[in-house]
Amino acid sequence: MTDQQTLQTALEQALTRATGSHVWIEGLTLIAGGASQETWRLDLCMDNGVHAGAMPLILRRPLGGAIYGSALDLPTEDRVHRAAYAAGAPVPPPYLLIDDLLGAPALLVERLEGESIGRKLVKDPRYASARSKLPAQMGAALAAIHAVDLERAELWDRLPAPRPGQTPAQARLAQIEAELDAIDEAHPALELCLRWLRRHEPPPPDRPVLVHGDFRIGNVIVSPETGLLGVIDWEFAHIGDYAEDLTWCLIREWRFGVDELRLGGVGQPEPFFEAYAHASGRPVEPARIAYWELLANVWWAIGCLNQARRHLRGEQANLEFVSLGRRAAEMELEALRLMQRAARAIDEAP
Amino acid sequence: MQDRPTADELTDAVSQFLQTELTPALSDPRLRFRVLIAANLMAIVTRELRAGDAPLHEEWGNLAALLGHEGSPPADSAALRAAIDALSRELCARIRAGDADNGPFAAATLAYAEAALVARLQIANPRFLERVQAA
Repeated sequence: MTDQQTLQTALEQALTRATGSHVWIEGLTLIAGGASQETWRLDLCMDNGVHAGAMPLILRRPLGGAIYGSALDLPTEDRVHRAAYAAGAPVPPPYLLIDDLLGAPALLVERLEGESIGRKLVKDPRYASARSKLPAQMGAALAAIHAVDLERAELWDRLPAPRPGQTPAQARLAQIEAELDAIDEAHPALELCLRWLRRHEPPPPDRPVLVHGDFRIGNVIVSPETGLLGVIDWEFAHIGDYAEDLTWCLIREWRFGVDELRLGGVGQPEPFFEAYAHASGRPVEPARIAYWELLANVWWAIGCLNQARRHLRGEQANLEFVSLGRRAAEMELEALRLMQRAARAIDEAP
Repeated sequence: MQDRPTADELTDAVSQFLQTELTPALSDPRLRFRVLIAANLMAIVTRELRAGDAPLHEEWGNLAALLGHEGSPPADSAALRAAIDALSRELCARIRAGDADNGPFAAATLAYAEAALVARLQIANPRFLERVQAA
């Protein structure tokens, strides 16, 4: 963790340079040591000019190391975030990318006043009304993200993408296999799922889209009154299949204990799928969803194994990371069951 | 041989202490969360110690039967773990090669993989197992 006073001084200097005004910072507080970044809240204060007053901001800094090898660096994440904002997707307004703050880049975005903690969003009665709005709002938000023009935003060459001739699913499966090989442990259940996924790939999407990559409860900021305010955490954005974002948010882990509400513990997937199909014009077929839901769970199991390895290899001592190594079996069992369900969905498809 | 408490009695006592005495005294929610993780990890170790080598013998037996290997399992627990790892890697290679795509070996492999995960979760998270089996 970075020392608060050191960070404050460096940040005030950087922001004075960037704005050309006398600025100071109030209320700098660490709010989350994420898996691979730390997140701080702060108010940027200016005493003159059109921006006089306090501006609520969020600062993110990389900690080094990531759940998956394909995580973006901060400047690329900033570019993706700005493209989503420009396309009208609900995201916090971007503020400033600092190239070098204490030896690493730092990203400042405007702070949306709402809740992102999954446990609270699924259980707190204050969010009951927001929960009823979220499925449709999440579907519409995703359609806006997937509508980002990759060409115009100059994202084609900057984001992880399928190789020429490779479908998004094939690209993901190649990554899964490479990650499994790097973990260098026997996981027969994951191998079974990987093999099944290779043999049952659905037709590729009409075109690859900007995939958020970590779209779920926990990465949306929610107001008790109006529901979805913004989608955050773009470090796993890539170019891929739209169904990936439609299924990552169904993973049991992201239901925060409310298992029966399959969309992130806040609702059922159907209104979410309908809102997405309506806004995007893309079909949401059960067999495609079943396929990508399985793939999402396999990818998350790999994420758990990787997190534990970061601790075990001595890269980052962290009790939560290391505990995930013993939780991967949960994701593997879930994946095996989803594999059997996906097989049935294919049999039943028209 | 050590005097009592046994290893599992010690880890159990630590788990109880973390959960019932330490957690309520902490005001920092992030630290509380980590202490609860620590309590849970101690509970896992307790269950693993109490189960002894029985789950290892069972896993070795299931793998050897699935892969058609004969013989008896190593008696020493480190050697038993190494043998399970080697057999599991052999199974993974066969799955990748397509041997478990169809037919009786596919069904047997699926049944083995599911049983092996259930056995792991009986140690690692029995409550999760109850939740998914009830659903």
